[in-house]
Amino acid sequence: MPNLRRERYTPYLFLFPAYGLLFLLWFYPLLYAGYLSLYNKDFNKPTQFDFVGLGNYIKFFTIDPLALTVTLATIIITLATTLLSLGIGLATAYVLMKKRSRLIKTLIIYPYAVPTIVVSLAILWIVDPTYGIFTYLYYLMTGIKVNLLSSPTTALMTVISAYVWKYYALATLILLAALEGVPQERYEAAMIDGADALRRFIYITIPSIKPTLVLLTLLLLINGFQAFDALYQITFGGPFNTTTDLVLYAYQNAFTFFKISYGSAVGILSSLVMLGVAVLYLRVIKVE
Amino acid sequence: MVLLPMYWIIYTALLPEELVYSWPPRLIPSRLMPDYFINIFKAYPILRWMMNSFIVSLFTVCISVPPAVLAGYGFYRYTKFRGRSTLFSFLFLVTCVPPTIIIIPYFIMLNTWGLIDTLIGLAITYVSFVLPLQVILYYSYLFSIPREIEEAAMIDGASKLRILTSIILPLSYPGIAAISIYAFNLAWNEFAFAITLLRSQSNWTTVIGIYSFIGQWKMDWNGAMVTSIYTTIPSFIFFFLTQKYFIKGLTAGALKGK
Amino acid sequence: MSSEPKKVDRRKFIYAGLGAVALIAIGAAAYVAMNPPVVTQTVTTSTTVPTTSLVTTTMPTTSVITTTVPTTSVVTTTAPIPTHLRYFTHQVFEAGVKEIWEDVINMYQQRNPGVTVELYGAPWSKAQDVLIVELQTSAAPDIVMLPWPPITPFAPFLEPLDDYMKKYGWNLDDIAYQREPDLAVWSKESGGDDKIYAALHSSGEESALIYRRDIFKERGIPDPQEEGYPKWSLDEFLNVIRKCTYTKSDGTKVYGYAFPTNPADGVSRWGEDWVDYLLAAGGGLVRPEQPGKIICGVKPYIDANVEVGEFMRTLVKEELVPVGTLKPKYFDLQIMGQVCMTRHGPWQFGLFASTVEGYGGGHPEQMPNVSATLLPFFGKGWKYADETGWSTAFGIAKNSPHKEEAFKFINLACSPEVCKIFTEKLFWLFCNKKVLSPDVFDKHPFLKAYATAQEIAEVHAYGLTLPGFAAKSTEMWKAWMDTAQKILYTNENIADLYVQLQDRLETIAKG
Repeated sequence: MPNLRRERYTPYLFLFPAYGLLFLLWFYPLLYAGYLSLYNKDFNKPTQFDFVGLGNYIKFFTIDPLALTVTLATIIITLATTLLSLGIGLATAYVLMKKRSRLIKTLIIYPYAVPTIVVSLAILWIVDPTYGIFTYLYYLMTGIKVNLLSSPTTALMTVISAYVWKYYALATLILLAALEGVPQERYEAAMIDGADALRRFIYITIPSIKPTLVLLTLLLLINGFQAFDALYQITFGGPFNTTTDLVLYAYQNAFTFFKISYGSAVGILSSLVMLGVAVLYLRVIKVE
Repeated sequence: MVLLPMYWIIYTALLPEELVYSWPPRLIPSRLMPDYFINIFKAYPILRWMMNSFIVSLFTVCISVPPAVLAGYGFYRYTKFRGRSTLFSFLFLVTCVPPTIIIIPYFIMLNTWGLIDTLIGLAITYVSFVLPLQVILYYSYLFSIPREIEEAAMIDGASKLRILTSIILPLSYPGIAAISIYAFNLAWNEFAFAITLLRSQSNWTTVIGIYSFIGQWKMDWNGAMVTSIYTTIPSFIFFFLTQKYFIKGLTAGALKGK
Repeated sequence: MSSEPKKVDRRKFIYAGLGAVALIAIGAAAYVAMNPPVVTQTVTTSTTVPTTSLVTTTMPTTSVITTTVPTTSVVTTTAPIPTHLRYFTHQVFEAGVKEIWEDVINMYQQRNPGVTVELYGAPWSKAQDVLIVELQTSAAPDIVMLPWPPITPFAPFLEPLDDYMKKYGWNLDDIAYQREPDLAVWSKESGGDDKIYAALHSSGEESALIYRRDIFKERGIPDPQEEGYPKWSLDEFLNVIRKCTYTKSDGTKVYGYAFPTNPADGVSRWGEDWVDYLLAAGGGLVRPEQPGKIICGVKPYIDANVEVGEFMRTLVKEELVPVGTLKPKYFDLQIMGQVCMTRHGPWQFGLFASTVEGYGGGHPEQMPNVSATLLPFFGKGWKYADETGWSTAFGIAKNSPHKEEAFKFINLACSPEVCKIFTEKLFWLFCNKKVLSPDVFDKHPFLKAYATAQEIAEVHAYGLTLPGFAAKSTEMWKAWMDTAQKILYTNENIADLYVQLQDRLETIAKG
């Protein structure tokens, strides 16, 4: 007979290694960030260190003129990255599903394996107003030499495309694995029932890979929300802070403007928002 | 569009230096300089950088995957125990915190433990970043394994849950592969923490190495691109190796599905 | 059904586990092999100290840590204290510069037995962040090279140097350019009179305003060079820009001002110059309770100056600068604020020329009569911590346990001896008068020479295309720097030197 007393503790045993590590490593940083955000430490004014409680958070919602722009940019970047990566990834995976070549399947992961700095450099060069290939092609077509990074809309598009380039590969890989796991009989049954390709796709494929899809979307959402590297390297916030997302804004406040308390507050705020989004997302999915 | 950056990276790596800045940019260069691929090893310690990156990534994967698997299974198998939802939400919270704002406390922490400028210190930091998501991913993956197998094993008298893990584990190779890839990739390509927590040049990772080509006024495009090509090769190898488990696990699952 | 796969799978599991353990073991072994404890014996009699390479022959030598052990039996009066200093600089990422620092470290170690110096850093773009993190902890480096001229954010963590400077005989008058605080000064209350010297400068450059003389003439603006440098107030400067902004008869708009380098910024990366300008003109600090003020978007001055914000906002609101659309922006470059780093001369000119093109300003060949002068604020003096140009400054961390030895290093690094090494090898110029010939510096002649040299380096004057210029820029740069060295170290007539330089540049261009 299984020892019931031991059974009660085994879940904790399973969780212990992971949570032990996590608590060990995250305890202090979370406290530190929280602690700082309640004060008004600023490296530019070294003597000041007063307790402001929720002042920083209130400041973000009321006074900060950039708060709205930044939040909007975050939403746009996150949604666009997620949807585009997912869409392109799904399409690519569907196309590649029938192929047998392992080489291709390894190569498609290339964009995800490349360090972000390389992607950023590549993009910077391609859209460079003086030497870029994109500029050149556009010039050939329209006779105009444009600078994609100087206009908010196009800068946003450039940055989003950098992330999509990176993440669609991940999406492809994961969806490919999921698609190949769909048992063939279901398709055959559907074909016997006379369903065409589109119907098959909607009613068989999507539901079969639903768990993976849900997870992948969550992963992409989280990564999109925390998009930092490429933003930092390509536009550093963009023309007048129009391509700044919450994470970059927190970083800027902390390390560029040296308002470290405010930066921590923005960071924590963005984590809470992200957490809220994730929880909401999961709830919506489970309802279905 | 997809291949363009990839093409450009290889293209620039092969260009002789003065053609890098040219207008109009040409798709097919007039001259190639492939010897930099070899010469760069003499000029910069690329192999050392790759070794460092490899050590850090390997440590990250090895330290993070086993606890993640255990915890993921723990959540999957046990659906009612005290604090379950709180603990699970903690995972989400930690995933959502942007690493850039906690870099200072991490530095202070590692400094106290004497782990600054060590590869293992960096690996531990990365572990703390990947672990939550790994647990969530693995947990979700477990749902796609048919329950009958597990139940059969339990009825067979495999009361020790450790035996159960040796059944679940082989079936979940794709899941493990996925979380390993995630951890490896993050550790391999991460920069902000690497540059802060490492110091000596002998400890540089490849990403730091790539950054070293970006000077304040000048930039060595060739060097950066060549290094980045070499950087992606180990990632490829890792993916290639884990591909096997992907497919194997899937076919095993498909067979059992019948 | 489950028994057979169970056995097989368990074996595989064990194999996988063993494999993982083996990999970890290999990794650990490799790690240990890579990082053996380093101790080398060096000979104190030789001038260059051999450095150890850690593993293989394919790696260049890395001089991370060397220890010097006196091998002679000379009895020293005081036993050397084994001290280890850490020196942080972003220049460890700059090829060519790193090696010079290694030599300087060797020099220092030879002269101070028992003290070792470790060289490390972060790339320039990240140096500030890493430094801020490190300076707050007990792991702070002892000697710090500040990556940006403004030192206000770092100053709280730096040790005041007043006493050391007195002890080692540093004289403010030794620093050139007649700038009021020539060393980095941090006033306690950002405006108070307490001067605490937190960092010591060793090199410096000026910021320049680049403009077109013909357009100024055409629009009726007096050429600033006639007075040496422009003495405009902010409003006057805005008016100048307004005058230079117009729409041509064919409908294309001509912008009066453009920011250099990264157009995506919208605001110049070098915008802090404007902050200094306004601080000097008597501006104040933005209070947080003043909402709606535009923010510069540049490094530490987000909180600075309402007037900078107003200046920027005016530029944008009145469309005096080309800011972001896909529509073509044809304009002849009128004025451009640009940091032209003197040590890089013509090369930097090429850089800003490409920025011009980035703004759709046409090919640099269409840029006649470009000239350069100082940014308008020069000469008004300022009281605050910040720089009008670019400079390298050294500081000592407050947490350092070896401040005296650290200052000795700084003393060496800023000494004429070491400055000469940099000048000779890299053509860098220094603001330490001890390095320079005294009679050369007379009412900023170098700066005037700099502006003239910029003129000489006009791309179009030599019929070069931009790529062609890029190809020749190194040679031209060297020519320019040779001239600069002659100006510094000889008593030759400056005008003659520039004529020679011009000839030489033309030859290079045509060759």
